[in-house]
Amino acid sequence: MSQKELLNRNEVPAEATWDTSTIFKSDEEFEVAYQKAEALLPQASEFQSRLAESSDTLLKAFGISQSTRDQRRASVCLFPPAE
Amino acid sequence: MINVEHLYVYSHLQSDVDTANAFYQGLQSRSRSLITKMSAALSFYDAELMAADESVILGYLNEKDELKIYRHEFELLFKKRAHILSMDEENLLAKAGDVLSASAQTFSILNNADLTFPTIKDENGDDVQLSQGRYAMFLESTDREVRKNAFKGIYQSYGQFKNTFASTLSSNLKEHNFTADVRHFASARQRALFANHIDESVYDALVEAVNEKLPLLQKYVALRKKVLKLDDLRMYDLYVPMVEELEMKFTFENAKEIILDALSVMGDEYVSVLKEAFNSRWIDSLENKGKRSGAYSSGSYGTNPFILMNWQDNLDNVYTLAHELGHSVHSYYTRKYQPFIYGDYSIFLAEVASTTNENLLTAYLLKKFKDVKIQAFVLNHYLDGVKGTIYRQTQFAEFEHLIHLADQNGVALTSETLSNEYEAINKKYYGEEMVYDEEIKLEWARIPHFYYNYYVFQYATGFSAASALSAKILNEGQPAVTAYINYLKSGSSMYPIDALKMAGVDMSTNQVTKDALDVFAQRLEQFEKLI
Repeated sequence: MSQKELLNRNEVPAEATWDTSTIFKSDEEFEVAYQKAEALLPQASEFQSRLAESSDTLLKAFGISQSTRDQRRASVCLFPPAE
Repeated sequence: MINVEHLYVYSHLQSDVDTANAFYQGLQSRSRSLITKMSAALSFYDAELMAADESVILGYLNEKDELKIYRHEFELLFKKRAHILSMDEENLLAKAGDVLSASAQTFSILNNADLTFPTIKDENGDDVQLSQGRYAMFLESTDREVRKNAFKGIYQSYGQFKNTFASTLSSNLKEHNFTADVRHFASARQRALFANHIDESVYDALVEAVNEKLPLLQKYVALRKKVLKLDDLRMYDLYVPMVEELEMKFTFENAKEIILDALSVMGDEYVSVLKEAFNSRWIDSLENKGKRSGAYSSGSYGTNPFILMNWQDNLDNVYTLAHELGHSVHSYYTRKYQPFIYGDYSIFLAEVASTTNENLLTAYLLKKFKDVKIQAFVLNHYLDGVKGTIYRQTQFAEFEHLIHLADQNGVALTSETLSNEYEAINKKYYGEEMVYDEEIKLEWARIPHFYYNYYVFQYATGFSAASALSAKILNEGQPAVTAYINYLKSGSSMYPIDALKMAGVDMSTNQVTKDALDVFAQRLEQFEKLI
């Protein structure tokens, strides 16, 4: 199919598109979540040098890190095998 | 709870369906940079916990019920201890990071940006400039002259820079060997597999089984030569399908029906997840202007899975959709049944879930469609799949290990040495029926995967495991299905090898791959009779 015959994004019927509103209902909602996440940044170092202090601290520290840890999960594309 | 991954997933999904959209490009780049900042801010976690007294931490885990789930995570962390250096040494290595990865970076820039390819004649006699993407397409051409032109053309470019490619590849091997050495590993392979908690014996078992079954690959090569009616089969004749394109069209609606029916052997629970994928719009199916090419499954903990496709009405697309749904259902189960910390899975496990669906689809199509043309098409698809996944990726794995060891033993890896080693392995695989053009010796130069540090073998182990698991599901029914779904639910809460054992395959023996190649043998015969 040549590029000319392709639909524009806004012409694709809704049932053939994915529903991203299960993540954020709108770009505005994305922006609110972004601001909140950014505001969490300073909290990240709250438990520095204290992680192994007590079981309570450890649990709390993991609570914070859950929302932020491990960016490798956000990577979506596995390499296709070489041909 | 706020999860920064949600920001990234939302922005990349929006951007991928409309790549020219600057607004979503902006959201994506902001999300990515926020994740980087978060990771940096939390990077002290691993170092600090690793430095802590193990018995004290284990005491905490016993003390608090809510901490019990972290036991496996801590076990993994403590295992890394033997390979962590002093603070000063770690600091030094971190600062040298860019320098150490420079050769891989140089390869990538040369291979993707600076290397240019000659212009060749396509099927219509028109001049077309070769590119990496077009090369793969031209190798599938039914016009042999086009395949040959593409092959000669691509290696003309690689040949011009063969000494530079030898330098980037051997420097990259040196980095792998250096880092393994200073971190107290016996070899680069040991380090790479340790990171994914896989024993080196898994790698050796794969190579051993494939070597034992090389006569089957050579039988495939001989059959291909016969079917394509060629006096001499060349390496550029390995990608064109041995059968004609099917006239039958497969719409997305057809694909949905076929997949639901083919995977009904997985039971109601699995099928209900598939139905949710179709009914709750997890899938962006149609191609549109500016949409990212290819197909993938995405999402993150706390979101549903998302599948991107660029639908074409053919059977290959039905396979791709079944494959991506395999990833999506795996993600769905993992995120539903695991806490956040184990809510992902390693690549070693990922390819099993997707390829099992493909294998079930093959079995279903062979049973359902008795038309000779469809039978031949499906068998060809399967045979080429095994050739490209089990045989070829193991061939790469064998070469990758050999050159790492050569460097470790002080052998100077020049373009000539690399070419000679590559030629020897290539001939061992494809055998006497193949006629080898001089250029194929240079194939090592263009494979980016040799820079990924022992990555490719997992495609082969994944296919082998999937072959065994799909057969178990079909033959044994419910008990096999339950075991398989338990693996899908296990995420990263177990060692990958144990998760597959739970599913029903033991990848530490070479039997699984041998069995998969026995299925290949049967279908090869079946195909030969049809043609």
